[in-house]
Amino acid sequence: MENTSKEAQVKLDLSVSLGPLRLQNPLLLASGTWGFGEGLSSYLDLSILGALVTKGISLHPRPGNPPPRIAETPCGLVNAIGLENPGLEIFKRDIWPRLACFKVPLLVNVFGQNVEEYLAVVEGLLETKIQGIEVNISCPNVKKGGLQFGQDPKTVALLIKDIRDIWPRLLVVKLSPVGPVFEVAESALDAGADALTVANTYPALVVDVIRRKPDIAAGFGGLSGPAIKPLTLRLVREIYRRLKAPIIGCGGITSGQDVLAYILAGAKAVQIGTATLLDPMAPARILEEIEDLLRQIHEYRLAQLTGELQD
Amino acid sequence: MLKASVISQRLLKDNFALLWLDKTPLKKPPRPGQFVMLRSWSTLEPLLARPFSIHDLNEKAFAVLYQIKGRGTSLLSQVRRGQKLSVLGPLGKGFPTPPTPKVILVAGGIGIAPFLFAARWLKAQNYKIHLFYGARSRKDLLRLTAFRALKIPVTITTEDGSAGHKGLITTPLSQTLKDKAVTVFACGPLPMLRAVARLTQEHNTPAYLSLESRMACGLGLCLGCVVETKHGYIHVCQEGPVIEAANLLND
Repeated sequence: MENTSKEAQVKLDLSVSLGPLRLQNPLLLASGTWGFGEGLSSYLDLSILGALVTKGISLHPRPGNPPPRIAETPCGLVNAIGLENPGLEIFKRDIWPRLACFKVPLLVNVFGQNVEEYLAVVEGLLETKIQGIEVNISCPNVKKGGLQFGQDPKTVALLIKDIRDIWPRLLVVKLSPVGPVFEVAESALDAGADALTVANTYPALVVDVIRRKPDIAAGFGGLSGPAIKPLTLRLVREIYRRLKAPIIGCGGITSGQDVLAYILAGAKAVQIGTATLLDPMAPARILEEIEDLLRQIHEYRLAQLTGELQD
Repeated sequence: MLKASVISQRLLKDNFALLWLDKTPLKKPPRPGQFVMLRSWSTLEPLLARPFSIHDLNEKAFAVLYQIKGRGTSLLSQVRRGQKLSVLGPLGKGFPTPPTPKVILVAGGIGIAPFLFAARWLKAQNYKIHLFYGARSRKDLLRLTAFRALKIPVTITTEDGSAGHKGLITTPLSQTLKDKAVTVFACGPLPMLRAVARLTQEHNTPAYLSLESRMACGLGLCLGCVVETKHGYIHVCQEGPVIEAANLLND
């Protein structure tokens, strides 16, 4: 501790590489947890972040699910927003130009109800200067009777290959944490994904016993928040071990400690979601905590720590 | 979130509380009908901060008036003078400047919360005000002394008849709407708001309703707090909590 002041002068290197991108730090804001920056930017300087991942964008606008859309659970939040979004055209015309002003790499989360819709969105995004896309495969596939794309490794392989053929920039695939996760992860990588976001929310149910109904109008929702952190950490570890894949860890991070846990388990970068909902200033605090922790453990290049968990 | 010092906390009646907080952390001067997110615990459980409308305001402080109902509000009710808690706000859209010289405030139960601030604000602009206040019972009527100190006429109804007229607040309200050019501000349970919307539309009275919804962030980040209106879903935290009565869906 006596040389704290000396160490404080050593410049930390938080930068990480992700496909063709070099990010100034590993902190991304997760899809669907920061609006399109309007409300958040008065509490948080978005330019301090590594990158932003937008709300899922579909070919056509979607109104989303009826209320109630959210329910609080122990250390968690269950949501079924229903992919509410303004659609590709409004995104390109009104939203993208505004987001470009934040001077931080932008990944657009994309989804569709069939392969053609995914491709149409990706093609439309080629006309913008966004840095990358994150493909949401936890989305019901209308042509396969509503089965999620992400539950079938073969469908994922075909979808990602088609997207890869037309999208030369950063291509990330966001995995569901349930189903054949490892097979899907491998399919996505083989089909050309640059990185995997591990993972989306966990399918969950909250019950209102008085009304004898689900406490969320859509029935099931997705669980996020600190409650899921150990589960997703384990997924990151397993996928890293088996596939040595570039991973963006995402699940229940609320502190710098949590970020380092994900990095040690195998993530190159992380996404913050629910933590921002609890406190819009949380990402700035988490960045500071990462720096303090690195100094404490005498590591000055964050990227060196990926996968360094001793197990 | 920013830190605010507790100036005072007073428990009212059985299960209500009035909490005064240093207003320095408020990002801008609030408007009546706007709300704040509060969190008085440093743990991740309960996970979410809680929304409260701004009840009163002076040069140094603002107040929230709330019912102690669940885990969040019972933790909040334990903070005392000098302690600090986390605050975010003011948030959302408040009440507009009324288009008529007379304003009727309609409160149902804890829906009284935004109206002391609204009454002071309207009085300062020389509006004539009348408060219509409905509650289940006498023990649910709050802050009457403060309203009377502002010399505002108050009409009270209770469902059990223990104070004021027995019945619902919409009964005396409908009488008043018949003969006066007024603006209505209402806050309370959804059935009351629907009744107020119906009545005011029958009389072509401009009316604004403060809505409630489950909320996670309060800032338009999560899109969790929607209510369906005639123009589709609106996000209560950003496009509300105050909306035009004409936009409320009929049931």
